[in-house]
Amino acid sequence: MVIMTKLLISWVIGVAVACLIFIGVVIPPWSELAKSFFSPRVSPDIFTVPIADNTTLSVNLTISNFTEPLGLDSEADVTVEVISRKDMSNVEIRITLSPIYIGQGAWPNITWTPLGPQGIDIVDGNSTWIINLSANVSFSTTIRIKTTEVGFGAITATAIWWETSSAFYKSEDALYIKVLEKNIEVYDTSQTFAFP
Amino acid sequence: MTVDRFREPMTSIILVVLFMCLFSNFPSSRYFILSNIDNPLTAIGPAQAGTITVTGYCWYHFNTTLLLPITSARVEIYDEETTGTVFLGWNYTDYNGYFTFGPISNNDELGEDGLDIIVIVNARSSAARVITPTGGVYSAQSQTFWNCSDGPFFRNFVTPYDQRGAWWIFSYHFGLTRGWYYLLSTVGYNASTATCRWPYETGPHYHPGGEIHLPDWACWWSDTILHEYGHHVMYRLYGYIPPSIEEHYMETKSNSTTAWTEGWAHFFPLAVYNKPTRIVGINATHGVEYNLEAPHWCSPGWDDGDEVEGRVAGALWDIFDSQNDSAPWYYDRLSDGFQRIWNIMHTTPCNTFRAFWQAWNATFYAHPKQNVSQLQDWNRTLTAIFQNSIDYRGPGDVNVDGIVDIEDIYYAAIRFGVEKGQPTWDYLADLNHDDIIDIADVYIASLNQGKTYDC
Repeated sequence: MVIMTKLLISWVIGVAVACLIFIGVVIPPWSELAKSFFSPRVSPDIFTVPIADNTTLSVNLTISNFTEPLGLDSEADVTVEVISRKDMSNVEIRITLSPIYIGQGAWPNITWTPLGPQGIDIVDGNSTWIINLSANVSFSTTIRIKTTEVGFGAITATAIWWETSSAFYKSEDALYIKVLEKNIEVYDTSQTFAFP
Repeated sequence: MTVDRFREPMTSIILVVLFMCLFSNFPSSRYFILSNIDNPLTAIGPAQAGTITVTGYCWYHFNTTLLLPITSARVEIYDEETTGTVFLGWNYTDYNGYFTFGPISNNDELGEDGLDIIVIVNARSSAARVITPTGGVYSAQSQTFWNCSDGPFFRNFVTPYDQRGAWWIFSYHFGLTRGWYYLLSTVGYNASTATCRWPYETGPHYHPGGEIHLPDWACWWSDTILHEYGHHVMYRLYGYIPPSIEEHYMETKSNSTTAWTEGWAHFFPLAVYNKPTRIVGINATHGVEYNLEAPHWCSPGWDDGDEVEGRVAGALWDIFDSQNDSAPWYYDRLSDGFQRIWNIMHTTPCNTFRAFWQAWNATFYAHPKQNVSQLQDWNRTLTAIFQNSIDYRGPGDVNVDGIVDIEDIYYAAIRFGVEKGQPTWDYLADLNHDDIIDIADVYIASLNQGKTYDC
């Protein structure tokens, strides 16, 4: 009896499956089932980020003493020296004067606001160069800056060399200039600095 | 008797002087009163000096010109003396990088003016420590502020640009503090201190129960920092790290324990930032971006199954995320967040992703399931996992409802003969994963007909 029941169930299932296959093939609800793969980005994409590499290409900023009396309208020479460990063509060197900004919020939703005026300006010299560098031969140039108002500014020198369309070397150096009514404070990138 | 005394000239003079001391601007009395109100302890000391409260904001460099607040860092206050520096105390910065210390007595010994304040910001908190290759905590020391006046002393302190890598690792924005804060704010877990040595050795790694070691370039890759922090968290929860092989890759099979260990760590930054991409840094300028939302069964270049760490990370992500899969697959329809994943992590040490699923199944459902809601949740979890080529269904249960019945047979049967790539292809129906829905799949469903699964 049990065997008969199992045989019967198997036969019913078999017939049902056959019917379903027939239904599936003959009456296909293709419009409902039509599917296509979404496009995955499974191939790793190499991308670049602007991060300094001071080992192959290096930039160094130095500054002379400001002219007396210290404070507004003082002037100083800022020298940029660039050196590379290998030959590089079309290296872009840029000097930027900027206020200092402070950020608030959680990454990546950070908002930036300037602390105040940058307080300095370039009065002489070019701020951008495209040069060819030979290995271990330094290049240097000088700009002259002037304090224009009370503020806190950054002088950033950047050198970038694109080795390929997606690979580059970049180096940066910076100086921080705090301009007061009757004084000027200069900090380099190795220093902790404070401001009111 | 008292009236008589008041009439005595000497007594009257003394009383007048006392009155003036108490209510005039005479320094000793004023400072004594202030001290007494603000900080009873300082009232015990000499009344010659007032108090000072050191406050400020601490910042680190995002780049040369952009500064970000240092959150949860220990700020120490010192007084510089001819004999050396005297430690006055410490406090932590808050979310905005703000700290306050004091009021404390501003007495800088007899004959001198106020304290000569030095502020030191340390990459150290109960959440994280970042140390140099030789083991010292990164710190930034201010200049000495000589002879500070009584009252509030406020400054902004900016840590050196040259140190910025250490502060990135420490930071709330990109680093260990962010991982710690995420756990604290989402699940109330206060992870023990993670220590990172930087720059150190050539590849990022975690020593179970010990330190995170990051090479110089790794400081710029937030996901890498949080990946290693994920290992730290797993160790703190489990007391061990499941056995893992040293050489392993995102897309290829390693083994089930390595895949679980690394999969969890890959997933951790995705949860923290609520994003599907895991960016693996290679060096200072180059990284590889994996979008773990995207892979599916047989994705080119990917192995399938729960021995692949990227698959495990993708499965955790699909459980977590609010992004359902695109039409027409709909395998991932679960948007569960972090809480239940954490519940299992926190309560049940698992060595494999299958063990994680088993713990999930045992924890969140009645057996047998008692209502449609439970069944739907179970189904959605299994299919979210299935999306990542990890098939934990019972044999023959094509439609993932825990019962093998005519519906499963029908589901496979109507796709009979369909091969992968054809419009009606559906991985769910390909029970034996041979890229064709054929009699073997229908047979598997038929063979298991009537079975119920509680997986």
